[in-house]
Amino acid sequence: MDRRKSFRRQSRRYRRPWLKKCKEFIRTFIAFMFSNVGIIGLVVGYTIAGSFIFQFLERGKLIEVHVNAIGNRTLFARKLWNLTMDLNVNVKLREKEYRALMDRELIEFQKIFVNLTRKGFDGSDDIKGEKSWSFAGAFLFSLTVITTIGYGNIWPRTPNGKIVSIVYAIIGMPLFLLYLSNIGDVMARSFKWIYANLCLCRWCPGVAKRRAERRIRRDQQMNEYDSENSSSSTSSAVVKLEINAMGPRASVVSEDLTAYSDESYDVQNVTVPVTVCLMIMVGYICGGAILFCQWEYDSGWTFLDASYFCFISLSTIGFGDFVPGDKIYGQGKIEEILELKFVFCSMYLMLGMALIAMCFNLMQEEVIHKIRSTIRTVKYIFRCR
Amino acid sequence: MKNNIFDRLQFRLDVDKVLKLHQDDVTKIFKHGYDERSMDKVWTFPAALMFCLSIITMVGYGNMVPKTREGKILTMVYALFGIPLYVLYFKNMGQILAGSFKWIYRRIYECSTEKDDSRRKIIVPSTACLWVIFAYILTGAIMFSEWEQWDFLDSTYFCVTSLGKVGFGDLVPGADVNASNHGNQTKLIINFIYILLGLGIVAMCFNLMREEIKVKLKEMNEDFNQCLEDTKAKFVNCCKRNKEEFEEEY
Repeated sequence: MDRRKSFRRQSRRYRRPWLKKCKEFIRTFIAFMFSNVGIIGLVVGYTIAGSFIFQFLERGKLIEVHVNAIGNRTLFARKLWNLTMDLNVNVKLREKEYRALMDRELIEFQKIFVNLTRKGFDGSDDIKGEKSWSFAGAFLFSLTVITTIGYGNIWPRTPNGKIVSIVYAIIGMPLFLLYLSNIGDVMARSFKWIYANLCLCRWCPGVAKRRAERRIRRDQQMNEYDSENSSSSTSSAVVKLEINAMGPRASVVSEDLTAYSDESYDVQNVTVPVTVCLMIMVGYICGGAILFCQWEYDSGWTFLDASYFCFISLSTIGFGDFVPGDKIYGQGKIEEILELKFVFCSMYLMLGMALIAMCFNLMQEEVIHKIRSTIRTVKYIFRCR
Repeated sequence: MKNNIFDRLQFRLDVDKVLKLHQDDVTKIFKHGYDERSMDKVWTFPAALMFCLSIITMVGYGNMVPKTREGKILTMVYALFGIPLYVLYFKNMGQILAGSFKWIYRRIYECSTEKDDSRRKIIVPSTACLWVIFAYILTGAIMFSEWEQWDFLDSTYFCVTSLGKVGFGDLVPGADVNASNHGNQTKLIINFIYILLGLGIVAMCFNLMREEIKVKLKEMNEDFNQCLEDTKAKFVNCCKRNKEEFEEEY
């Protein structure tokens, strides 16, 4: 009976922490869902809403420049007809003269079209903007607004569209900044964990122990230097300070030894070297470049062009001279592939910017660490003299 | 035009087709950078200055872009070094401008109100920052609409997209080929100054607003906690009373 009771108590004692753990786990999981997955959902939802709004505002509106272009072309055809008729009636049609005349006229035509292109004519006969404001195109547009990339391959032409895009940008940019800081933080933490466990080989005990010893030795040296420094600065109370410094140091060292040789030194104290971050960034850009190079092969992107595009996009400069799926001449491409390209491009951008935020997060820590240690060493050197 | 018998409709259709092809060629060439201007005219010094600014501030208008291989590579390297520099500028400028703005605000505050115990920390309200940005954009909009003969909405749109670093590049001051060259250059330089200063002001507002939001969040948190405690106390009281009533009944 007695034994049974004790057993029960034990079991209860066991169950309680388990339940608590479960509860805690669920709580953290929900918090994670709301804070991180929630913000991803918010950004994606905001972009989708924006693409619907812009599609509604811009699609089916007459694009003045395109109408102008088509009108110009028919006008020109008539003009040519008149000229030819004139020549045919008045003199006998001579090739040389005719050619010179045509050349002159064509140059004029070309001039008109260059001006139109500068105003935003993209070469297609798509008067109502049905093609450029497809869902995927509008999605990419909204994304480039809130990420502040702004390619400018398509832009709102109606006054309403302009006003809405101003408001949209003002609300969207802080949202995206929030996304970046949040996701960058989470990714940095998880990357650190992976790095600590995989690359630093924390699981094999020998390595960890040796590393811990080395670390402690270094810390000791630093401590010694610090205590010397403090004692020298106040020369009147040297002895007192020395004792003060000695006391805690001894205890700290012993504590440190146990803490380090235990497996449980904090993962978040590990600093990832800058080179790893740079490698990740370069690798991501190169990977994207290879992919885009394959995809846009028929548009004549070289590897350099593709990596240039990736860099310009991910640094949010966004010139817009290269845009994937940019249908300049509006012919010979299947719609679905285009949509897919847009979607892929936006995913690449969102992930890439989060990755870069992560790298900056990691690098910042590392750089601060480095600067601090160099300051220390510089002080040490000056103290030696 | 194989034989010399002209059919008006046929001729027009044929010519239209040929012209369409020609037009496609022209737009294609244009997209690849043909501009009717020689490179000397495009890459004047102020224009190049503007281009560099658009790289390092990450605005990226894209009205002029490097065409050669070396240009592209150099652009990447330039951005790699320039962007951190700009970020540094953003941070520093934000701090300095925020400090001075706060000082001015405090002076005005002290003048306008009676001098009582005003030793407490004065925080610039975010509406003031918004007003400053609003005024800056308004001046920019009026200025550009005067110069470029854009309508007011267009120039506001340009200012907001530039200061927000979106930079579509559909409207760029001084990019019109037909205008005189000399005027363009001064415009470009003033645009340069406008944007650089504007980004500093945005940084300032960012700095000030962050402070205020921090304080507000803290206050909100305290309020929320108090509210929770109050409701808890009320709830407990209610329960107690119910219990007492229940016990009294039996």
